[in-house]
Amino acid sequence: MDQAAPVTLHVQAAQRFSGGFTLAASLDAALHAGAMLVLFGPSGAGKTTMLRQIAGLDRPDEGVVRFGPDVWCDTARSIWRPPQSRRAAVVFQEPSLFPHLTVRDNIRYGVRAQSENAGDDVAAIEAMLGTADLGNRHPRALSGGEAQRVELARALATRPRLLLLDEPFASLDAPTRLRLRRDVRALLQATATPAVLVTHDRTEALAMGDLIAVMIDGRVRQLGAVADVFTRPADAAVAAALGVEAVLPGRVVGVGDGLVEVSIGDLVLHAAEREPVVRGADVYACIRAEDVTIETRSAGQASARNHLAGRIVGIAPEGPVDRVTVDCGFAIDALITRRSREELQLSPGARVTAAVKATAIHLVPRV
Amino acid sequence: MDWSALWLSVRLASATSAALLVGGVPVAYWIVFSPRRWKYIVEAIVALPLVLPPTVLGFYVLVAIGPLSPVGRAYARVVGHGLPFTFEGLLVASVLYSLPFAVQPFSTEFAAVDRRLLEASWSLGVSRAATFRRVVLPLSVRGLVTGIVLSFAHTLGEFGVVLMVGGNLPGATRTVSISIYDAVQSLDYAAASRTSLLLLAVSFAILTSVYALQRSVWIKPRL
Repeated sequence: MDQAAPVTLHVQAAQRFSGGFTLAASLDAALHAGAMLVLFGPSGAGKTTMLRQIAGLDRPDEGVVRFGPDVWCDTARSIWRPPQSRRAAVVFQEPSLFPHLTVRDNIRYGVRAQSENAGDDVAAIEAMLGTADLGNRHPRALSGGEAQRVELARALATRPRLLLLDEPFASLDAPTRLRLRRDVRALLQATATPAVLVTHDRTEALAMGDLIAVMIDGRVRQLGAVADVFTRPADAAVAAALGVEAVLPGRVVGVGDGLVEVSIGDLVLHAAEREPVVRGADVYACIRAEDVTIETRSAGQASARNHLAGRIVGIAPEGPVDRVTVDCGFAIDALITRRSREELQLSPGARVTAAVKATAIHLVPRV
Repeated sequence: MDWSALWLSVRLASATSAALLVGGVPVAYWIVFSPRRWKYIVEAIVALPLVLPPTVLGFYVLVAIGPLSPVGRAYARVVGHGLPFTFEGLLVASVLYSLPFAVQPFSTEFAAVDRRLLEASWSLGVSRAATFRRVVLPLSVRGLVTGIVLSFAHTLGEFGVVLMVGGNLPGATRTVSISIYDAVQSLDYAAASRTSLLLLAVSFAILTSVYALQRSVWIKPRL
């Protein structure tokens, strides 16, 4: 794999739409070879518009798009590079294969005839995506998952400098989606191609992203490493967009009896095994604050598998309930009723135990 | 039957269709893909022959290619004779007269190509012109065939424009529809009826095949 210096993707785009939506986003992301930047946010946040600006399919009213040293767009200096010269291949949510061409001709569509080793590259990509056997079929004879594989192969066969993915897995069924995520990730790393992925699916963002840019109302509100952004959202709006769960990066250290042992820092959590994971895999353990209970002394025999000793570092009222933050090596939130808080006489600094059932821990394996 | 008139009409219709395939595709491309706001004006001009009386169109063409216009004089200087009352003059008039019959099916079909296919092609590094050739044209075969066939049939049946621009010179400008008119004028109803029946049959056959094409009787619809 190419370990060259990261390429900086710089976008600063303002675009006003007739419907009232305004994009005013700026982004500066250092993309390592094979790295994935996730554009995350609710529907209508401007993620796809941003992607189209990067691709050169839309032109900002005002703005700059730079990829490394190359200026793709600079409205102030009247610079505009059309999509053809950016080499940023796009994969759309709905398959957009050429219906009159076979799978083989689709995949080779953008391959320049004169480029060397093009045939070998294409063969390697096809082997990894498993499209080689589909060669003579026409797009209408493919399943949704097969069509997206062909589309990915078509994009990667042109050896793009940047791959742009606009919710490419959204219309696939769950098992197909999981397999394809893994294959795409492996392929990007094998070809050292950086990618930008648009998604509103937080599991997908966690599973695939290295960097994440959270977009809300046409603006990038936070950009950073996935684990950092999920554990330290910049403000309440970002936290709400990301969801209310604690997201703890960890590693699987044991699997058995339907339980997965995940080491997080010095602690080991037990989580129910919902989907197969292997020892040594990197995972995120996601815990909703509603599923965390607070104990002031040992409850004796209880069904919750995880008892985490710690100290209360914050109590914030949140509507009818209180959000209690416990530092037990990492921060974990519990939502409890006001009456419980009063009965337990909880206050900042108090030593408590946070209890979480194994079934309440949702593991997201990194792919 | 006036075989020479029939042969002339077939030659004229073939040449008109060929000219419209070559010239109509760029016009349709521009109408569909140009970002210009005022392209509706061009669309209206292309559609004019649909509503204009053939005599009006014929009159203007006659004036435009005649010795009174710079174009007509330049042509006469280069070729040695004027355009009016010649096969070439008829061809010019026919192309204009049948323009909407070719351009409209072309542009309808171009516009029906999914825009995402074009964007995918551009982002794969393929130029706009090559994308048009490799994606839009192959997906527009039905529209191209429809436009060609319709302009052929329309030219075969034109009368007013031919009379204005071409007159009635046997072998040069006397088309089959004019020969029917002549036959009726000279009370030769038998000849008129034979030729009319032939034109009726040919027109019906052509339109049947166009509508069958639209219904995808032969070509499978694309996804």
